Amino acid sequence: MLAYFLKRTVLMVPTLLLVALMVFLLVHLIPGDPAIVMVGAEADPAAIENIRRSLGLDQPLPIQFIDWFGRLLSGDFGKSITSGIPVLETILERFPTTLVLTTLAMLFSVAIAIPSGVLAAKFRNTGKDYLFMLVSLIGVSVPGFWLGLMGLLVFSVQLGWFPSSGYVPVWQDFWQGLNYMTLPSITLGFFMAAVVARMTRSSMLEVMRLEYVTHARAKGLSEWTVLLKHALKNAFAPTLTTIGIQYGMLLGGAVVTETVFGLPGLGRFVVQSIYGRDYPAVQGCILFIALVYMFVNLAVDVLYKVFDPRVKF
Amino acid sequence: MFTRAITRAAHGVLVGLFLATAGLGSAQAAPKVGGTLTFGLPTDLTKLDPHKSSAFVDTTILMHVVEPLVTYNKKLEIRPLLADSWKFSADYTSLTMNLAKGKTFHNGREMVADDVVWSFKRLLDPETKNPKRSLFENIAKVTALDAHTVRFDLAKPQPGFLHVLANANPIPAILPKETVDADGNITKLIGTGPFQFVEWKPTQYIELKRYAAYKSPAGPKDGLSGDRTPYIDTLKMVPVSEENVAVMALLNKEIDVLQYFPAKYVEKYNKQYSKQGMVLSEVPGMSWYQVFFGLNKPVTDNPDFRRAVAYALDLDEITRAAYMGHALVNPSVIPAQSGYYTKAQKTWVSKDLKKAKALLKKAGYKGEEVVIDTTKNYAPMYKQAIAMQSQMAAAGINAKVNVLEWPVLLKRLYGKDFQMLSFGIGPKPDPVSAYNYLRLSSAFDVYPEIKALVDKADSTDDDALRRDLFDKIHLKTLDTVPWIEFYNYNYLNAYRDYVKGYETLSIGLPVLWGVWLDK
Repeated sequence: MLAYFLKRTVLMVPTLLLVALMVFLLVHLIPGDPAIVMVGAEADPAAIENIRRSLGLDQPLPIQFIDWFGRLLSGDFGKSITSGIPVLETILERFPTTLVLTTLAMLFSVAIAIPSGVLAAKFRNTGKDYLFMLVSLIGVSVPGFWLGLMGLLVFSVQLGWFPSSGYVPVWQDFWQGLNYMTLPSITLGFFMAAVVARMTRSSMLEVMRLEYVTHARAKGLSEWTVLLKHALKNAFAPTLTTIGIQYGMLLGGAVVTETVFGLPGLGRFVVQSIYGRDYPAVQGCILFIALVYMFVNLAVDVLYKVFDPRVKF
Repeated sequence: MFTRAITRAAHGVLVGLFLATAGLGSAQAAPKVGGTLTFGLPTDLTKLDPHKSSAFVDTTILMHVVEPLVTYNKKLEIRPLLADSWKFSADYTSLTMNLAKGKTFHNGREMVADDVVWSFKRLLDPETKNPKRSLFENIAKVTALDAHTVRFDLAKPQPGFLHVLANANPIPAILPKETVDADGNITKLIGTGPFQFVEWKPTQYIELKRYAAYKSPAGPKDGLSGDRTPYIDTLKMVPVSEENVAVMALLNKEIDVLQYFPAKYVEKYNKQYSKQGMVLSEVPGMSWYQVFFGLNKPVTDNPDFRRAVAYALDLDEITRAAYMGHALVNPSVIPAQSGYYTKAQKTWVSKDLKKAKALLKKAGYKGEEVVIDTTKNYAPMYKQAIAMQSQMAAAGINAKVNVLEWPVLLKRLYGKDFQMLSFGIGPKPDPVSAYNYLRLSSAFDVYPEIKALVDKADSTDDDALRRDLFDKIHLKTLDTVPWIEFYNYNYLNAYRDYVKGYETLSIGLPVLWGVWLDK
């Protein structure tokens, strides 16, 4: 297990190098000039040139890459073109918000998706199954933006249960922070729950057809014991992969949810940086997200063994 | 060609003034000191340093903390602020200013002439990287004559130099040296304004507090001038970028004032929100939208083609499409509120498809595709482009709308790489600065006579002569059509009914001194 973990960790290095190169090239291929975006529509050409020079944008692309990558190797992600604040500092300041949002969303989604998926499988092709799947279909189909606004309209404006704007970190004031995070987490978790529920249902249906489940039933075990103790454990491995992929994707930034609810997360920062052609910020964020994604995948692979003993490292 | 009577404009101004005044009426009661006011901004502060900033949102916030030497009243006339009085030399190459005595920075130190010298030295230093440094580059030298007198020596005569000192974006703020850290950056802004900087949590809020020792200029509150006494104890300015959420936050009283109320909610306001303690003010603004022609590109380099487009367009319809009736049609670069807005400035062509088609024939137009570059990042730019495309099609012009990302559109504008470009810009109180902005269209290169007229207007302080010159420029553009101006949009602001004395100026700035809470 340890050897596998170390091997995977070492393999991350060339992957990250490749990501760094690709990110740098892609970001610089996008049309638009950061200096012009910084100054807006009314600057004089001399000021633009001065800013381009001071940002090193007048240098040939290979020189810019070597400069950026050299600093990256020493842990320096560079400074944001827009704010002048070190990129890593901003990432580390924003990431916890996204981490809390995504984790709460994941907990919410797993809490409703797994039982829903199991129940849908148990009552397959009945009214209950159709109801669960209809709800999950809505969850997958409804745009997060619209769902967030409707959530605000009902639970914030009409019922007054949650605030519609503002933010307090949970580590600063846990209960107030949770109050600000509940609605965004549910909004985000609803989509994730729909995907996970559908995956749980189909995995359960597949497993329930296997002989060992028939054997368990033949032993006289109750249907719930068969389902929860025998079928779910084996059906959970593919569901875990789905949860892992979803979680990793969302950690990269739940852009829409963060925008609607005005949360200072990483996703909003990435999007703002792309609009502002803030090269160091975009490059730094994408590298960071790639790293997080790799670690989440690694964690999922390691956890696989817990649910599927046949897996060997 | 004939004069268009812009009745809608006048009507809009009256409605706007009425609505704006409705919010001010209650300000007659005695103001109360104290409380916290939460102000909803469309975006976050971009830079805390007024000498480095070029974003309008920064001015909205920072103008409450820092102050320039002179400022504008409601009529956009120059009024004293940190300078009490001033005198130009006969040839307009030097300006001597007497500073207000007893004005203190938020650290308690008195503001003196050395601070003015230091501030302009910093503002003009290329290392400060102010994107609009060129606005100030006619300043050759700033000298402290004594503790309260300062002299500006100019490289060339500039009668309109006071407008440069009153500039709102960026603010030529007078700062103390102590506000800058060892790296030359500002993390704790110190100014002389009515409010003191407390904290900026990026994307969350900017907090200011009342500067109790603030010494206000004399006279009643008038635009940015006159009485600037602060009453609110704590000002919390929060960015709420999603407009629907911003309206909900105002309904929930999570914010007390919303700087930009979406036009699509006005009907809902009339039916419902007005009964829920919300007040809406609509102020005719000076921000303007237009289309630029690429004078160096095929098809659009032909003046007859451009004149044909002018005859193909109905400015009323374009304005309605872009701003749902909350804008004033204006074919001039000069806004209706300006003293330079004459009858000649209202002159433009009326839609006439027959004339448009005849001009297209004269131009030798054979159905070539003409591209209108625009962006969806600013909805009115896109909406007006779509309206133009459909109106041009009716005249037989094969126009294509090309939607670009904002950075790409800006690059095309600076590179003069477009046939038609749908655009808009913030207020320009002085017509010279408005025309100088329009140089981006390359009109100054193709029509040097326009530039000569602008330069002449910049070199005189004779109002009658300037008025005449601006009229000549407008009539010249009527003939050459390097751009077509469409409208100035109104500022829709909403606030809770317990907020008293709040107003937004025609240059788009919300004034939060003189505001108090009645709750």
